[in-house]
Amino acid sequence: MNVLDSLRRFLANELRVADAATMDPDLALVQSGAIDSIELMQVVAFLEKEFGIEVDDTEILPKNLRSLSRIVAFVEAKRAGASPGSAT
Amino acid sequence: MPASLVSLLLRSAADHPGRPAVGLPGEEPLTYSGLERASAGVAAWLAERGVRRGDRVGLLLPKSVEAVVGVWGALRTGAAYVPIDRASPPQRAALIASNCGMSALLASTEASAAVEAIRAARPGLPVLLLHGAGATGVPPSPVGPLPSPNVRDLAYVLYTSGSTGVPKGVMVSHGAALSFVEWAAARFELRPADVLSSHAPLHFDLSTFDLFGATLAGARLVVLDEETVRFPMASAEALETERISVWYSVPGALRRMVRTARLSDRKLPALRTVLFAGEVYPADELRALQLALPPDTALYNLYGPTETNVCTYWRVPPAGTWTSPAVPIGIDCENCEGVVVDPELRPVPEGEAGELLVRGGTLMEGYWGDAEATARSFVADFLHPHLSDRLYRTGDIVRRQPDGTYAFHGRVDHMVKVRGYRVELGEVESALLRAPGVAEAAVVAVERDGPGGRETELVAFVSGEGPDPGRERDLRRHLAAHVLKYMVPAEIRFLREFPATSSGKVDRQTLKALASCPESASSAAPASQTPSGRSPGETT
Repeated sequence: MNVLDSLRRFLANELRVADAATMDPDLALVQSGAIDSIELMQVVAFLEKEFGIEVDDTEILPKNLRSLSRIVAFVEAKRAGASPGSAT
Repeated sequence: MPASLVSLLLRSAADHPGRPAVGLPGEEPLTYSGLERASAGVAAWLAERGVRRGDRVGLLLPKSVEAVVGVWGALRTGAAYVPIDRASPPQRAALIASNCGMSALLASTEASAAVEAIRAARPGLPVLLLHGAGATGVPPSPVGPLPSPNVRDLAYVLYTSGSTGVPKGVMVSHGAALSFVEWAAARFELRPADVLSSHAPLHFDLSTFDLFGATLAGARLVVLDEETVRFPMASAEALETERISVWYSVPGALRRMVRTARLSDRKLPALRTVLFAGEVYPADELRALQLALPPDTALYNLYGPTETNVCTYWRVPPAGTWTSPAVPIGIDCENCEGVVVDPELRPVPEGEAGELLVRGGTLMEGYWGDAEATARSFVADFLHPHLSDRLYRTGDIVRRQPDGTYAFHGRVDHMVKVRGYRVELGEVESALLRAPGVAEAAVVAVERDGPGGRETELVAFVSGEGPDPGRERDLRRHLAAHVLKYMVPAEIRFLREFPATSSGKVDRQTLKALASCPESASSAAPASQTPSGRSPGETT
């Protein structure tokens, strides 16, 4: 399963985001109210476990995690060993 | 003495026309004269469409400069503003619009199903879409004379969870709002040079401190949008770069910044006061916050249900000088007076636990359209019978400690706080009972460790049909259409029969104990599960 599909599955099944399966990948997840701040931390924990990456606190930023498409790009950059950008 | 909240804006626009009034982080703020003009434009638009003094104007807007302009625009018509949570299911938004008899709505271009539901519930309702910072998109129109509300007029109606399943509208007058704002401005010495954070959503009463406190002082308000609020790193970034001097939020926001946003590495020379309210701050975490902040930062725990606004406060002693295991809610605010009583409403001896009753200038008028609930929530002021005043029953159990501060000991009823929001367990239960096939329903709150620390979670128990695959999913879909997301239980468990107390009531203690152990270990019938133990959709 690709990153986007497993993310959608996680949002639908674990965070119970109603329209996760069909959601626009560019929809701003927290801005739109789809997930709250605690769920955001659950997304990060999921990314670390599911994709074997390590997310530094300084990387938990809108530019990395704002939308499904940003998260996919972030995970792929991390897997490729790049540093997608942090706050410090 | 200002006649109303509106007087605060007019005064600051006259005294500090060019000073920055409100803006988003990193953006050019609107000045006080700009805020005055933009809000007059919104007020004129509303007035032209028939909004009159005493009406209710709904707000369905993201946290933004336009939302602040909208609040002032509504107030300047003499109407009360009614902010609606944008995460509300459309049905709940429409219920609120009908309940308060909404006569106009201010919304954003991106809204949505909720606006349509409100339009359907209130045919012909004028809807103004606000967009574009500052200008708000309202065409300039000649502003006729606007009414001057006074202290007796309603300023806002805030809807909170209602135990019977219908949200309750807390009515707050200009006088009550002013009593709080003037107390807070004096107590925290708000000045024009201050920069206040606007962290809470508008439907949460914490927002009234920053909105109106900043205006009273002629200070600058930094509006933190939903994204900035929810990413701790972005919140901390705004705290530093916007040089915020007075911060106010729920404890959760501060706890997350300490844990994940390297608060102690930030340069915060402007920060002088940090206020928090809405839920209990765990004492150890509060001590950690103190160590992460500049040592001379003053911290205060503010307490009060929406119905009283803030009625007690506690100044946190300097770091390293206090070790108490719990954070007290402090002493009565200077404009309020509390008394602790037993179930027969007799004052308890000093040091004993009882319900806190409050008298003072910040009390709500009552619940919109619900004289019965209003009557239940107040009692005649038996302490001063000659004054024929009233006391508000907070439903909170407190105890006065030897140092004079109140310690908080929980609720007398079934209200809990989830993510800082009030949830009447009865609202969730009645939504469950409306679902087809549900015979009985009970919801309990439990404390659990999550990735963000210890949090309150809801666990629902239902009897009736189920637990076949898809049943939990159907119930969740039903709940999502009727209640806010934070009210949807983390778990739904199916019971063949409910445990009962000797008096035949649902035994909530037993349910709480069941909720605290993993589902497989409880006597609950097995529900469809994934290895994580609480996923509804995997098996279908």
